[in-house]
Amino acid sequence: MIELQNASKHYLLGKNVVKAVNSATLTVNRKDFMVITGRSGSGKTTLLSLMCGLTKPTLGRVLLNHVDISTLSDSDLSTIRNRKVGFIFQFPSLIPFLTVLDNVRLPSAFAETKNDDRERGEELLERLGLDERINSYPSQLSMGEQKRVAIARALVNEPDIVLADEPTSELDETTEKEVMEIISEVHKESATVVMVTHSSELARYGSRHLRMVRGILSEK
Amino acid sequence: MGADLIVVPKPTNPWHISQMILGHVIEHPYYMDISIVEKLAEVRGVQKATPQAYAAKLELVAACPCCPTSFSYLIGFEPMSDFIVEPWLRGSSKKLSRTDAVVGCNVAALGTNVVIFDQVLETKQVLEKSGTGLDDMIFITLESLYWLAEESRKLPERVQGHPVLTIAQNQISAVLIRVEPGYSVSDVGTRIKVENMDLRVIYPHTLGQEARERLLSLHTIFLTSNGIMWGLLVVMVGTVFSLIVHERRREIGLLRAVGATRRWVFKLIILEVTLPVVFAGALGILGGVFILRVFGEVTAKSLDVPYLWPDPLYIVGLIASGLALSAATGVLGAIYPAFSSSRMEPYDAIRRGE
Repeated sequence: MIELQNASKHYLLGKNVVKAVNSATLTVNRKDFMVITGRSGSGKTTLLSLMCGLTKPTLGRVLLNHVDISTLSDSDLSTIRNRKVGFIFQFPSLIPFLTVLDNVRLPSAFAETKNDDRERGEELLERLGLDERINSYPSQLSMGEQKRVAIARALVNEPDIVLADEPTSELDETTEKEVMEIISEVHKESATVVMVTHSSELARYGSRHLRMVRGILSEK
Repeated sequence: MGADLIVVPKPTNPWHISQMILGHVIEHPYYMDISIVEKLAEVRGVQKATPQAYAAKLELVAACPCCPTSFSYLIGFEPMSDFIVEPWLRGSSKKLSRTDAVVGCNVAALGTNVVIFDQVLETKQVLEKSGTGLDDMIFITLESLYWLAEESRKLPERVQGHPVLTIAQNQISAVLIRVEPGYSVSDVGTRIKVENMDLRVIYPHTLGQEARERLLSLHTIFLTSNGIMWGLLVVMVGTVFSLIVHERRREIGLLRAVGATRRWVFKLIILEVTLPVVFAGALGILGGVFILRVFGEVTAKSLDVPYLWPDPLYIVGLIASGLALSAATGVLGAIYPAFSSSRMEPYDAIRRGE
């Protein structure tokens, strides 16, 4: 499903070259729940971004369903990000001037085929316990609620792969558990999940556990 | 004015004629005998020749007690040979009687009476606004002018606050000439000068020169300063929106992450920049129209140039062009921020926007 072949991502920080991901080789199979742990700044987010074409590798290849993403056009890559991948960001990623429901429906705006995204959005929000907040704005929500809205948005186009970047950061223990249960449920329902986190404890939710240290990936 | 040539007595300064057209009142004391018209009509290449007599009014006069008015010149013309006033009239000037007048639009309304030297003249026609001195003139037949001059002499001087008309019977100020098609205007003018040494030939296209030159330099200054301001505006719009887009990198990165294409982001930024710029342009146009309405005539007077509102269709065209220019400003100003934001990698945009 996702294959990294010696993929590296380097970028310039002042005059220094930072090797955020260094020769990562990895295969994510269908229905995997892969957890990648590592300290802050170890390159986890960059790795996740490489997997869904949010950035292109400096070296090596990233294959998505056996297609090298470097060869895809912007339009094709955008379609993949829209239809095949759901991305849960680490930081608050909601558009502040859109309501909760509109934030959830946002990916549908870029979909070529328009489904009944309103119904789907409402259904997801109900499932995530946010049915009473559909007309609220992000600033009126708690951090945990914002995370759940971001999860709903990642799932609205029924993606094959869900990539979650520190989905439980800045959450209290109870909310963390709730969010992890939702992600586990999503995995059970058929999606492939790749989650990166600094918390080793959350590794127990996954079927595979990898570790990242200073841009180097290793199987735990 | 409709004439190819204006023939005046030699001492007449052509500048006086141009000032008259601009609406400035200048005494016009040089006259010649009306018999010159026949002589000029016989010159080879002259198609039509018609006399006019100018009598400057130096002070305000009262018309009927209820409608006080003022005018700059009393112009006597000969209806039978006239080709200057006639095109401006709805009917024929040949039917004008001794007490009928054709007035410029600033003088009086249609059907009202104008009282000059105790004689009542009825306004038979009002000329369309021209923005020139014509708007303040009264046209009457030569017969009326001679009659009014005689009447003015019967009244004690300055009793009514204006001077006596000095023009005598059969005197005229100018002969306006139309040249026959196929003849050169300058050749005919030279021929008239050679055959009539005591006359001066004025070429009307040179009369507006002064006003044209003044307007042209004003026009050049406006165009240049507007061009510079427009260039600066495009740069300013580009800079302001580059900063805004810079602040919104994370939002743009997020949109790209959920499926927005580069083209979509490019169009979004162009639209976001262009809409407020067009709106601001529309406000500017409204403000401009307001200022022109309020200060237009005052400005024209202070600059000493003719002033006239353009045709409504032309105004609509100007407004449309203004809006189009606003849109072009928005699009040009937006190109750089739109291009740079659409080229960012989503991951970079999100990371740098954090």
